Amino acid sequence: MTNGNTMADVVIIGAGHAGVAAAAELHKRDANLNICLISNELPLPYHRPPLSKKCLFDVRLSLELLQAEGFYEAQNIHLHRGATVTHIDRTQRKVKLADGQVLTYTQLIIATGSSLRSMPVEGGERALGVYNYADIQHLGPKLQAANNVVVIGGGFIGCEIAAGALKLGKNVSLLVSGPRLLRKAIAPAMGARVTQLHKNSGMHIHTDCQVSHLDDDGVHTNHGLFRGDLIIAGVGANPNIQLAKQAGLTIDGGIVVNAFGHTSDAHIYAVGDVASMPLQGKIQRLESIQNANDQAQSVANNIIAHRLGEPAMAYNPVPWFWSDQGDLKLQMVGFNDANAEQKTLASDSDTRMTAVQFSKGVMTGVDTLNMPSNHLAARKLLAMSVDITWDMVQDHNQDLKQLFKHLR
Amino acid sequence: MTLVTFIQADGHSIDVQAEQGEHLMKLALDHGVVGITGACGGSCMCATCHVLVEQINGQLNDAGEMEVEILDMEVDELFDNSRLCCQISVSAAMESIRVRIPPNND
Repeated sequence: MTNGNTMADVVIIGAGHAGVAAAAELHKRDANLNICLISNELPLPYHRPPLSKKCLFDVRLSLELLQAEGFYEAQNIHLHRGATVTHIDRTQRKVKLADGQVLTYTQLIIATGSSLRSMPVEGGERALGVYNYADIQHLGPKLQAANNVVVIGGGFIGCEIAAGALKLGKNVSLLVSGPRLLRKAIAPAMGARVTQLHKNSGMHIHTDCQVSHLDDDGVHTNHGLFRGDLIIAGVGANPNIQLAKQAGLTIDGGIVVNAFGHTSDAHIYAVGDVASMPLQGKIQRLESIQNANDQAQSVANNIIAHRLGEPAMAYNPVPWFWSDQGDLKLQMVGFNDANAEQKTLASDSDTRMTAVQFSKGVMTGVDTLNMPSNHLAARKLLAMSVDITWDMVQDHNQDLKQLFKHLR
Repeated sequence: MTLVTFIQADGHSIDVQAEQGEHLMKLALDHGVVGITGACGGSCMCATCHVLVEQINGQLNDAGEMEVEILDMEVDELFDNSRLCCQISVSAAMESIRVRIPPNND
């Protein structure tokens, strides 16, 4: 259909976790809503975490779909695949697609997610990245064929890719700019432990390693040249704010929203990776599945409330996240506080660890390594309106599940 | 091939012929089984793929530590045959399996 005009109640730009979750929740609350969901990818919307955790290392694995093919039609959700939005017209409340279609909205949800950050050095484009299914199709066979793999970046994605490649029997060098892995993301003691465990399993980890440029020979750094038959980078992601910026919405990192998910335009909401929201006294983005799903659900419910003339509800998340790295399962909950006091709980082995963060005496974050029970308990504890102190944790044998069952 | 039967909370049942190596959550999503969300994509981080195993012909892999903990902490009404179906893989040793989706699974 070209030059067609469609009237929709809600248009959603982006069919990642947040976009699809918003569409599903909207339909669940009001089956009569006319919803348009726009995806810039061709495949049906799919789960992203398995890409760097499983799919990259086993080319036989197919996509894990967020919803079955028949779901969208059955739910009155018009899914536009392989479609590019070129323009948001706020005065006319219209979204224009590259193929000429025009969609008119009452409410618009921007769920455009983020894109891979490129290596900001000469030759940086030589390092391949993993973000979507097309990347996996391109990179997967190359990884199978490679012997020496160089991974740049000590964040979650870099660690997952390096650990997975190691399990495939590759010779893996992981280049990290800081003093240890996951420096910004997890407790220092946990980061140090994970670094050591990966080293023990045979990964070559080079810390404080600064990449100067990439060329035909390989990756040039302050630690010398790293040759690899495959070079992969995981150096973060940037929010896809271009459309919102062009439309004149307020931007601060991502698209600024309030606690109800509203952007600076009352008809437009933003959710997921692309949204910057007030949290812990500052404006910040959360890049996680938890946030994509929960914020989308919150905004969908606020749109329904608005249509019914009911009050909106503020989104008040307890963020959580996970990372699978070889045999290590890392789980994080809460907000990172660089000034917090860190405590490590008792555990029975080197490969199991719980690090608890106390801000001004109150528990605000918990990182676990292969200790799912403490993680799940921490998610519940941080959602309760009780201040958890170190003494309380001590009184329950440093076992968070025991503490939760006591307080429940 | 293994015969996998999903019985939805509304009583409707869906039969799927499955290849070895597939896990039940993916099968459920691919076939539009109502009540299975699989919010975490099979990473054993949520309980939105909770099922009750009603019948098994052949072998069923045991629940791991993560799965046991999630079931204990996240599922309000737990049964002896409760499982997360993202952790149930179809194997050559499994002839058929029948699972029921509990009501209010999300």
